[in-house]
Amino acid sequence: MNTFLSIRDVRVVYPGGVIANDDVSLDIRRGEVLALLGENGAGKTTLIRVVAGLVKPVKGELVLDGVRFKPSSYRDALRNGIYMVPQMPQFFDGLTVLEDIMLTLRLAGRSINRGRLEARIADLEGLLGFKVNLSSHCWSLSIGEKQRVELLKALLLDSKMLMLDEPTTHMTPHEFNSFKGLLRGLAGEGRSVVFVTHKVYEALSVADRVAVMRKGRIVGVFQAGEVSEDILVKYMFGENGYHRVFTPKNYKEPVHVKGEPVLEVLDLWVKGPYGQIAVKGVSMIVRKGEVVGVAGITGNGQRELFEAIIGLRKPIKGRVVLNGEDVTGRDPAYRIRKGVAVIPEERVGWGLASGLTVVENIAFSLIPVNSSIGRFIVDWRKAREVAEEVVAMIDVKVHDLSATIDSLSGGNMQRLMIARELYKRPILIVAMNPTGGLDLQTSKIVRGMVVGSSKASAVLVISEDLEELLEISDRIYVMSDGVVKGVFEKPFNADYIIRAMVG
Amino acid sequence: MNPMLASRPSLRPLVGVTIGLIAGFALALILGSISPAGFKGMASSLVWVYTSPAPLIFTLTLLGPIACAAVGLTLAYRARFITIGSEGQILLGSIVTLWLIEYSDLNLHPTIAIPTSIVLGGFAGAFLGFVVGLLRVYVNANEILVSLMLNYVILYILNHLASGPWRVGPFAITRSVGEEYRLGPLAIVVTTVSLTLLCWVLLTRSKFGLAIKVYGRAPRVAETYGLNSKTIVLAVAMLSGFTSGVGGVLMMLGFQHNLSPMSVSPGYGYMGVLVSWLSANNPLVALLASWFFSSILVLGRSLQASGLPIGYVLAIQSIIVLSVMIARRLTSR
Repeated sequence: MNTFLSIRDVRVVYPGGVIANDDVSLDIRRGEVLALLGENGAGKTTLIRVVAGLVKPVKGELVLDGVRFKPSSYRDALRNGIYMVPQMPQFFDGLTVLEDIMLTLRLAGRSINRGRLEARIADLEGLLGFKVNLSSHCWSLSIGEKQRVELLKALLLDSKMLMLDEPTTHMTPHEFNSFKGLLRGLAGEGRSVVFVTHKVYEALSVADRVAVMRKGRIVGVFQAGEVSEDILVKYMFGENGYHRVFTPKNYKEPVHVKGEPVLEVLDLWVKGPYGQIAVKGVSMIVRKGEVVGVAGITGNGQRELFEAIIGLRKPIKGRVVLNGEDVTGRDPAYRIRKGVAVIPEERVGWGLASGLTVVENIAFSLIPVNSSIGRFIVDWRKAREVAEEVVAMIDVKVHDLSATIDSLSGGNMQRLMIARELYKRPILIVAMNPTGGLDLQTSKIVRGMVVGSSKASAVLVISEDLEELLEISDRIYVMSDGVVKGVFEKPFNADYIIRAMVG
Repeated sequence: MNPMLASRPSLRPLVGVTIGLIAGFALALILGSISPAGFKGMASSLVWVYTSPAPLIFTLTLLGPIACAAVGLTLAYRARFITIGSEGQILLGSIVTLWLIEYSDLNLHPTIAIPTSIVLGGFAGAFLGFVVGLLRVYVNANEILVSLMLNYVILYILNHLASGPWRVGPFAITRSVGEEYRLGPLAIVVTTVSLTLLCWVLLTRSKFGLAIKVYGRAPRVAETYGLNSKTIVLAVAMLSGFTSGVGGVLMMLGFQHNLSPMSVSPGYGYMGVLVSWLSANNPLVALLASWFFSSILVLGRSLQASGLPIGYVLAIQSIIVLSVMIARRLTSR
């Protein structure tokens, strides 16, 4: 009776066979804030996209107000009083805020006269406690402002249910507090609010109920007042997922003595792509012969840290020191010449150039190193020999070195890219999510390559896969909200690390 | 699609050219029925253009500006720097050539004046390219618009010179370069082929060419691995400007000889843009395609003599390029 929307046995399978939602059932009540809590890839976003008509489930049904509801499009959901705010709100950059609002209203089947609309907005602004400049262009809005406009749109449409996907990613604690008040207010009016987050304390401080998702399933639904952070964390990551102290079976004490520091990051502050400060005073040290992991949930400043270390992003404060030399102001080419090898997050488009051959993809990375493939003119015979050597480093069959790189599988591309970087005999390897999107077998091989390379180099691995870091790292830094929340040494206590990640 | 075509990308342009010629032939049938020379006259023009020495030589002369622009543009387009500034660069190259030889009071001997004008014209074109590249690199200005606008700037400078300070006689026309400075087809072909080979070596054999290809395919990769994007963009902007500028010198010394507001009508620079696209940005193919475009131009002039509008030729060129683009899309699936 109190239920607004009922999700019953919804199953979503993505192309490639990934089960994003595995028979999910959940009731969303009127007048409540429901937090949907889970780590990356737990299936939260997919679930709300199903409700918003953006993803079609292969099985299951939705019941809206007691009636079966099959949204065929986003527009359909809008017209039924459901409003979703994606993590990155999408606006028409060329329009003014007012025009964009009118367009959304039109999409939902409301036509409204401009003067009346402006008056309505003014009323709502008073109610919400913020002002929006209606004549400014959408491209000039910050993400926070876009989120406010989205709330405004939802109220203009008199939406009965609001779903917000990780709305707090770019908010300061102060902004979060007033945002919290807004959501409570909306629920107080009898609307339903679904708040997607990976932060436990946020879920507990704003929600009436918390639904925890793990690996595509709802693993528990709790009254916010009756559950502790510890229990939620357990449900998020699975009780049997980690032992209290993690000791991989093949763990051996490092035979080498810890070497000289190769990379030192000192009080680094870095701005992110939206002008927000993404890295806030991070310091870390990576020595020769060790693998250092950086753990954290995606979007907590890891990418900006990575880019600052390899020279793609200029820090606003702090230093990056390589082998005792301050390279903060140096470009990537200089750092590569000094022995930095880069394994970026995405293979194609970031690490390898689609459309070029295997040989070309290996040769280009040697250009700044100024090695043996020639001074101005490329010695293609030599380049081919180098490519053969690189391919020989991995157990990959490449039939034709002159074939484009696109003919290789994702796993082989990754191994080729890593081998190419190791071929340069780097002093420091900086890798980001090196096994992202790879199958178990290939991931194992890639981890082996990374760990093996630490004999001669210092290795920094930034990864969202905690299990991977627990397995390969000698030391783990945990980043949360741009700050190092903790440094952990072997043997690792996974519970503490997870607490630091979500804290 | 046809597996043979899919496995041999080099055949794709040929398919397009064939489709384009068929479309052009259909257009010719329509025009032939209204042409004063009749369809037979058109057919004999076609045979004449590809068999007689005079049109063959004229084709090689017209080849200069088109090919020079096109081979330089292959570099720019490989780096996804979509400039269409060759038209202005050609005009500026021809302006500085005319200035050096006729208006500068230097009275250089042809053996010095000709190489000097080639270098000077090239640098003038490179300068224009540099301006476009600089705006792209530092203020992220769209190179298509900037280069197009610069074409008009140069065009109006030309108009001003021809109707004002450089005018001789009652019409808006300048002095002509002396007979002793003019270039024959051999010199034009030698210069054009040298530039083509230079671009080809740069693109396929040099480290810089590899960097261009990486940047064009994946700018993010280039930056991550220390290939400086600013350097790449500025370099291709200047190199394509240089070759187009040299094209302008060849135009002035090869067949134009003077300047008037009329000199711009066929738009050799824009043809260079089309040719470069047609060749899939391969300098060697671009040279061949330039010859083809140039021959169509000669064909058009001969048809014009028999009463057909020159617009027919430009329409055929565009149809060919469109056909090639369509053929490429179809065969790349």
